[in-house]
Amino acid sequence: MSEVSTAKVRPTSIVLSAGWLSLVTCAGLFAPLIANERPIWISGVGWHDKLPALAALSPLDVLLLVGGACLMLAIVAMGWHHDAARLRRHMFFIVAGLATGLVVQGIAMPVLSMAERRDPAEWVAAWRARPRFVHELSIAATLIGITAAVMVVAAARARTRWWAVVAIGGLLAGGALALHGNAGRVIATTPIPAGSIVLWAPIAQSPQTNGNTATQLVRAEPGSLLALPLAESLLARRPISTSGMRDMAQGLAASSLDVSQQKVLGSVLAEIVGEGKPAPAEEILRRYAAEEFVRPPAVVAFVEGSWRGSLTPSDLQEALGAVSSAPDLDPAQRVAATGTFGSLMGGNPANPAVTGSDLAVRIAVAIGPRSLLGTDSGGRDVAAQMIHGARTAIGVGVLAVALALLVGVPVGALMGWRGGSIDLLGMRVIEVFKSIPNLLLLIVAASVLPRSGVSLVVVMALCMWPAAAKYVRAEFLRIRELDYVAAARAAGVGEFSIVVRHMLPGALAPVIVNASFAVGGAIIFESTLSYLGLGPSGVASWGALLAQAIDSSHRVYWWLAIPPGVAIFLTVYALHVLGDYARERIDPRLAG
Amino acid sequence: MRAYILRRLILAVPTVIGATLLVFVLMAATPGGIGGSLRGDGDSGLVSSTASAAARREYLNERYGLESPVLVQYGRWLAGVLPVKFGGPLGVVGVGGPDLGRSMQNDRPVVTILAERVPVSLGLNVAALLVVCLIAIPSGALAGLRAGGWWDRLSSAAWLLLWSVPIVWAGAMVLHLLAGQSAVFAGWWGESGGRAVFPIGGIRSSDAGEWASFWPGSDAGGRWRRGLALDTLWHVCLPVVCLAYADIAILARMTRSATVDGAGADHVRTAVAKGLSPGAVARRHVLRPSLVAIITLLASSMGGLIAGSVIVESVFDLPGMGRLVMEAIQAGDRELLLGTVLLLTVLNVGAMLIADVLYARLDPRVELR
Repeated sequence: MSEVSTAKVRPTSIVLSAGWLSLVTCAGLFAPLIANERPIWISGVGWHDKLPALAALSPLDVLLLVGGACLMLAIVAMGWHHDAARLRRHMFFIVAGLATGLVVQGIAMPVLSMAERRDPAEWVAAWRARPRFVHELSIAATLIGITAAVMVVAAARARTRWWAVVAIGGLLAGGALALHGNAGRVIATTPIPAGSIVLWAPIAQSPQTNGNTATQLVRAEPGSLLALPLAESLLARRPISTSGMRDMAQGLAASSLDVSQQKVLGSVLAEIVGEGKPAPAEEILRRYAAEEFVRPPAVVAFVEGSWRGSLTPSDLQEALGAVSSAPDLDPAQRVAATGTFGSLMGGNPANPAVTGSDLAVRIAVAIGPRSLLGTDSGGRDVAAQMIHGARTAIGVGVLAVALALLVGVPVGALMGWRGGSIDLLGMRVIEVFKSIPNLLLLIVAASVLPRSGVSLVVVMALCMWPAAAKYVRAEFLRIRELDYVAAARAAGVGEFSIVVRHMLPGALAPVIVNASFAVGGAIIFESTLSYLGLGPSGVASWGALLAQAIDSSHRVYWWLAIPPGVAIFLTVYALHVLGDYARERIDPRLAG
Repeated sequence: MRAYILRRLILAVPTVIGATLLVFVLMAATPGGIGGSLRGDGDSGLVSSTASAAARREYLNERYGLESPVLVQYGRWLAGVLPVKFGGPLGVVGVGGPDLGRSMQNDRPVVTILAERVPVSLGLNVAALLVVCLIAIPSGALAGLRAGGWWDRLSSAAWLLLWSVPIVWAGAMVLHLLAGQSAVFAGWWGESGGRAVFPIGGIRSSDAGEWASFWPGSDAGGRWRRGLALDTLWHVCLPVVCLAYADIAILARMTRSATVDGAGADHVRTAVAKGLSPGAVARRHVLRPSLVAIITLLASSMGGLIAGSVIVESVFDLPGMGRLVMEAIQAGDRELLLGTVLLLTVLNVGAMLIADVLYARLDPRVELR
């Protein structure tokens, strides 16, 4: 009967599921390397280095990354110690993948430069000057991930079982990464470059400041700790105190400036604070504007500065001329900027609604950096958030289930083993937890605790441990009556030893099978809580993206909904498939 | 049987008390304290003058005893809820209905607020349950009777896929594709362009008051009107689908395995051997016994379903109990949240009890202890 009745899980789907999970885990593991390069928010002021990815890495990050890589290599080696030839072959794949990435990068650079008709000497200089290291690292990390996924697929096809070890090990490593709070610190944030260029351009460019600048500042940064002291100082002709400047430094991260501008302003502030005397806002703005790094593309400032009102067709012609001869645009940017004019003029040449600042925004958007999956309402990069979200999803899911097992298994074992009043009391407690619908308890508990990843893990474990305890208890009640336990007792084995060495292994099978489903459930819970606004704050997660996809008037932004939705769906589906498979393999009784 | 039910009912009392105590303690641990945002001393306090905030705080402290220890506060709340009223010179004063207090937020009796919200949630869930039964049981039974067949494989894969879709996402996509006038498929229904296939939120159309009629038909001017019945159905269609699909997956899987188990039993072999037609064997000897497990599962899943409507109600903006929970949490409205939790917990415990009793009634082999 069992042969016919079990719905056979297809081998292909198992392989694909394991592959997807290891890809997600790799993304979570290497998230700082893959996604930190541009969209990173650096906490701390006065960083003055030129490698954003490495600047954002804490020593702990480096340790964990190295540790994660070592762990994966160790797992691979463990799986192959009996087959040295295969190990060598796969190590070759990894090295070849890395080497290919480097070679491709090396070839692509000159080819791209040729396409832009640059002097070869120029790209050599560019190669040396720019922080390319970051690219190599991210490419290497991606390639390692893809190679690992391919190897998992290959090994699963070869009917070895170590892929499960790789998947579980990777999941645990990802969880450990998330636990130390890194997910809370590194936020995939790119403030809109266009906005900051346009809004801050006149302020940074104009040599003299006045009340008008103050208004512009407040308009640019409504309610920001950054703009208010500046504006107050400008209006009242009063220097800003040192503590006021510290406030401003704190407000920097929430400002609309992009990362490089934030860093420059941060260092300016730190410099003035270091000098130890209050400074007027003019002083700060002048020093800020003097930095080479801050200057926006001349064309945007030009457009913004030249036409304050609506544009006439002749204005547009003039601006077009300025753009096509702008010195600080590269060819691709020039094409994009000219295209903006084309679309504006082609549509309705006498359109009175087109204003100079509108045009400047459009140009800034056209020549600004592109994002693979678009940006969210705060201008943050969706692709980067997806990668950081993988870390959150796997971390929260795995750790919540692990914590629930840590609590539930001993409690259930104690109840099933001792029985009597302990069992009765435990069952009452479990019943209390079970009588409140799970989602309701989760929402109430999540609304009380601080919005952080750790408390989310605790809350989910709070909701999930009774189920684990119940499973273990039922198994213990069954196993307690079995002959081999009686035999062990008759042979004089100690009680503790009977419980831990003889009963627990037999009781764990259904729990482990259910853990796979529970991780999937936890990922869905996480997205639900984030949707309801109860998720961890300041952490990039799939659920948080999904929450942004629907606004209060029920408008749906599909590009925010589809990537996280598909990712959650695939991850949960993969976990369900693996859970079904584990159910068949580990515990034939459960297969039904 | 009667003794069993009585015993379970008595045991349910400490369970329900424990559950409300759990929520009570959790709420007391809120950073702003109970009703923090209402008292105006939270971070986002919108109370303009400090004098009025202080007055309001004092009033709430006096009204709800917020400054006494948590357990004392809980005792106050519990004394109001219990049908037996204590107090007065003689101890027991009399018997009364449960008093859930007044909502801190808008000073209305919690019972009244619940009475407004419960029908929406209950209707939504009953409809969802109906959909679940109508789709899941035939699908699962068919798959189980021909285990390994094409329908089995197809439906297993499809239900597993559906099970993995997060409700929030399903809701978002359905809204995007079908609901409102700016939806992707708007205007597919009916001739006029840009007409909504499904409405965006709420449970009635805003102009429903003008129609007055319950059933569809023509009004006085000869224009065709949907009527309240059809209008409500039109509004809850998408929410019900979103609420139902995950449970369809679970129930279909359960039905399938119950059917497979039943098909392997000895009495089925006997029935086949004595020459009964395959249809009769399936109907009488396989499906009927497997219904026991299915009905049990259905009854016990009711409580979870109602909690699940939190998401659906907030995605589709329906004024049900799920939304009420979120509103109460956001305002720190203790009385309202506790009342809702109490109701949901009682419903859940009741559903589990009904499941157990049904199980025993339908299957004489089960003996209740």
